[in-house]
Amino acid sequence: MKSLHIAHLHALSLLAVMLPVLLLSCSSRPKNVTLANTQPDIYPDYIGVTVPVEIAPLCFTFKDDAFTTIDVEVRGTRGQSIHANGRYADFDIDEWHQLLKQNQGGILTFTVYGEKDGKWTQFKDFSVFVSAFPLGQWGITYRRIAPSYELYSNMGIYQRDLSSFDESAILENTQSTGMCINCHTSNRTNPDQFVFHIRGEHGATYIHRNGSDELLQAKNETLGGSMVYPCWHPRGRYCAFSTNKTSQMFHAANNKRIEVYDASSDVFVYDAQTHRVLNDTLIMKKYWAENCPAFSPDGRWLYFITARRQVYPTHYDKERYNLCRVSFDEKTGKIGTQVDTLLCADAEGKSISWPQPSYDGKFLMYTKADYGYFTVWHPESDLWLLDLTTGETHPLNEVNSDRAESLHRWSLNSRWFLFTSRRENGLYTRLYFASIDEKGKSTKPFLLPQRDPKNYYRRLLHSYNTPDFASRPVNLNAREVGRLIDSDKRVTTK
Amino acid sequence: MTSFTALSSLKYFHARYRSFSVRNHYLCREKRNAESVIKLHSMKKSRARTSHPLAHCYLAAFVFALLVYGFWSLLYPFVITGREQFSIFLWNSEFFQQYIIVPGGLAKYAGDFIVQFFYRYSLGALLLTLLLVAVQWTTWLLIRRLSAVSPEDRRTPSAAGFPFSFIPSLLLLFMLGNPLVSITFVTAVAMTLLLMVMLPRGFVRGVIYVAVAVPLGYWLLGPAVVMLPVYAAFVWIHEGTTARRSLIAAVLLLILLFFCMFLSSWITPYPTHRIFFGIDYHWDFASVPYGLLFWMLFTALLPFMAAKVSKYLSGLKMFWAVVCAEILLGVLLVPRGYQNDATREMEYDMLLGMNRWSDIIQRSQKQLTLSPISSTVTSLAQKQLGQIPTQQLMKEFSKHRLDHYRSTTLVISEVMFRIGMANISQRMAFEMMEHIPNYNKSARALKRLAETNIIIGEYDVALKYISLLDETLFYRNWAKMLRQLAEHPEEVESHPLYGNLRKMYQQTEDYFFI
Repeated sequence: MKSLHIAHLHALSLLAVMLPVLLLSCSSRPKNVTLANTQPDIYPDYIGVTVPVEIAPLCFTFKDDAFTTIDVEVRGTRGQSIHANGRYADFDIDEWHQLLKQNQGGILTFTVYGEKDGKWTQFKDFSVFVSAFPLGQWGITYRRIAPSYELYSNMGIYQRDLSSFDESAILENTQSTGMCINCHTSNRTNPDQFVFHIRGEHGATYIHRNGSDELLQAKNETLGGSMVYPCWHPRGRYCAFSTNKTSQMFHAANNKRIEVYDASSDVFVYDAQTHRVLNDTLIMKKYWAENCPAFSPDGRWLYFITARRQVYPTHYDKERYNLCRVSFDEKTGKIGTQVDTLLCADAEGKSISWPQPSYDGKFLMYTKADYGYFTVWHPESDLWLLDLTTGETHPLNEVNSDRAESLHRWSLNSRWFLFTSRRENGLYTRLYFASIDEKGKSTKPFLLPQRDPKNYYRRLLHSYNTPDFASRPVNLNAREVGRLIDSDKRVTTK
Repeated sequence: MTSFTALSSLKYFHARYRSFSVRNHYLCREKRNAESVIKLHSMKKSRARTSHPLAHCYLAAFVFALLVYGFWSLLYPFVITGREQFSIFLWNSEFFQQYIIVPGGLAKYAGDFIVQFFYRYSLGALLLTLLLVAVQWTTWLLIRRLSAVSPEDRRTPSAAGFPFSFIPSLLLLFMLGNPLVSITFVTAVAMTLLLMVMLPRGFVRGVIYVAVAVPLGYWLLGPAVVMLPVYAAFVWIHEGTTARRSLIAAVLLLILLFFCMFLSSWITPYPTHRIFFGIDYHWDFASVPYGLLFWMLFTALLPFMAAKVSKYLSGLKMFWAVVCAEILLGVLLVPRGYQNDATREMEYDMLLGMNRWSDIIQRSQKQLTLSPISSTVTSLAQKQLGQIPTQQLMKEFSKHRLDHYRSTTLVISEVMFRIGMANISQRMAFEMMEHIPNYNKSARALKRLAETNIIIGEYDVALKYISLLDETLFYRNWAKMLRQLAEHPEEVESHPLYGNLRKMYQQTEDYFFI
């Protein structure tokens, strides 16, 4: 009897503690609802987007902070439904994946209610399309860095599982004092082979290949500069680099910030097996700036951009890049004898940069801006598509905005691509995804999903930079790499 | 103060009477050999020589607090406001979570919590003073424990060692003249000293306590907890455990600490040397912080040394003589720690913020040579007093490369803001924020960035910064005001400050500054 009395007391005290918690955690539910004739103004804008079946839940909320509660019902045309209620629509990950799996190739209908000043409003339903084509990638890698001028604080290379919200650091610059890390590039999204650069006191080019790690000397006397923008040959022995003497100029007025230009730049191919740099005058012309190399998916062509060098700072807006390609023989390591110009800047009246051929060889995506190649600082920069079969080009109007779009990458199945965009506020770059069909038509892009996205992106003082898909998680021992970077151990390139 | 002294005296004599009775009872109950009796007798005699009213300790601590507060609020207020611009404190749970995931996170959180009050230098000076007084008082408690040899010593302790308790705080006061010594270090050592005070009696209990406190304390406070096992060893020896046993336990506990540090180097993105010297204690990460290491070692050993030396110091005269000697040394030596370029820049920055143009010019005339920053600020002061035109100020500014302006303060951003060069002001503010050695963000820099973005017309970016400042204590009201402008851009033109600055910006011809 005594023990029963004590057990009652324990239960009551537990209830006394839990009850306020339970009451507080219960959000209000829609009642006395007013119907609105518009779709909800939500953040992120996921209305009408097309998503892959693997994607993490598209959590969202109202743009207007005056809304205190959101209630969302999601129904699939092929069955199942899920529900979320709270400060933001926080869908359960497992339920979400089940819903998408059930409705692959179908449509999800979102019914949204919002509470504002104690009153509930139901908005017009909107749809999200679940593509029949899976993403086929585990996740993405990217650099996070503040959109700064010359100095940088904390930054790093990170990876993110696209089916969940898990993000982890591959390498952060706190690992070695004063380090800057850039241009993490894997070979066809395979993390077994990747390269990235380290700038600063212990600069180097880090190459992970065939299970081993090498730090190449940051600079090479014959090149006159560092190895900068990389692209792996599909077979993995070669890697094309640009070598750039990059400078920046800063606007005093004119509502612009930064102009990035290269005092000189060239393209070369690096043989990772012999540590040799393969120069060729065709891609290292004296009065021309070659840049942004990219191999074709079959490895037979090397795409790059080239422009006649200008006088800086007076003619900074006269430098316009052409899109070119030259053949490459992987057996001999030789570059071809003739350069083809695929897109002429003079004819376009614009500058082409960042060519990225699709892995199926059908298309080539690039950015087009008024001048220059560092398009992240150009609000007019847009994504364009070149059909490699027909030679036709067209803008990807479905994904372009009135702010800079740039740094795009294809998924391995060439049905999806990601890119960075400054559409949110013109300064902080965010990651977007879109699907693209065999005709080169893309869909409305969607922002990289986050839990509580409004607060997450509002508080994030980093931009996303040099993103790429990853077929598996990157396995890097950051501590060991940090020690290697701090050491003097470097491989000399010949 | 008189009645307080009288009351303290009454309490003291009452306690003495009680302790006498208890001591008699104690002697009758305990088995004492001849050595103990003699020891007790000699203690009784030395106690008569060395005991002081506790009121004098309170008085000395109060005087110390007044002097420290006066030092910062009257002589070096710009050091307080200067430090404030190196951090931001947001009142949300995610902000706290970011801190707690690395060793020393709680100490850094507490440090940044305190630094946010540096926005008002009088409040900042008060908090910093309280922190130093806390360090002093806990040091005294540690000395007192090692001075006590009997239960009545513990109940009515001798204050002979009290003057030595000021030394760690005085050293901290000196060290804080270097902006690279972070407030995190001060909060870390203050909380570690508290852990040391809480060391329980008894060897076994003490070992268990330290074995738990070391890993937990390391994760929350950082490597400052190294002082705990060192102090504990002295306590155990003093309270009767054999030296061999005490030292072995202390060494094992130190090994436990080093193991924790080594383990954390595998799971946190910091190199080993930063882990061992404290991730956020000292902001020159390339060098060994010898000063801080010396301070920790010295403070861990001080209670033992002070307890030994205090036996030879007796009487109120000696008490106050030592206190006055410390005050004198403090007055002579502490200001030397504040004679550096960074604090000079902070002074210019504060004068600039208060529009004290004549003071700026006077200050510059006292310096033999002017740094680029000092000369640019002086030029602005001259321009504001109508002594030179704006073109001459820009000429002065353009004489130096921009990397010469990579100041640890926002002073150049302020100068450029005043003359309508919003782009340059924006860049200087951004660079300053990215230049903060421990990668903190700066509320003051974000404020400037919000302002410049409004002037330039980038309202979305301005709103991003404003939403962060909404979550601070001292900037939220200002953020509310600026949000109105960002959400209603048509009101910017008619704003007395931003409207004029926008006109100046729009009239500025674009050029490149490298």
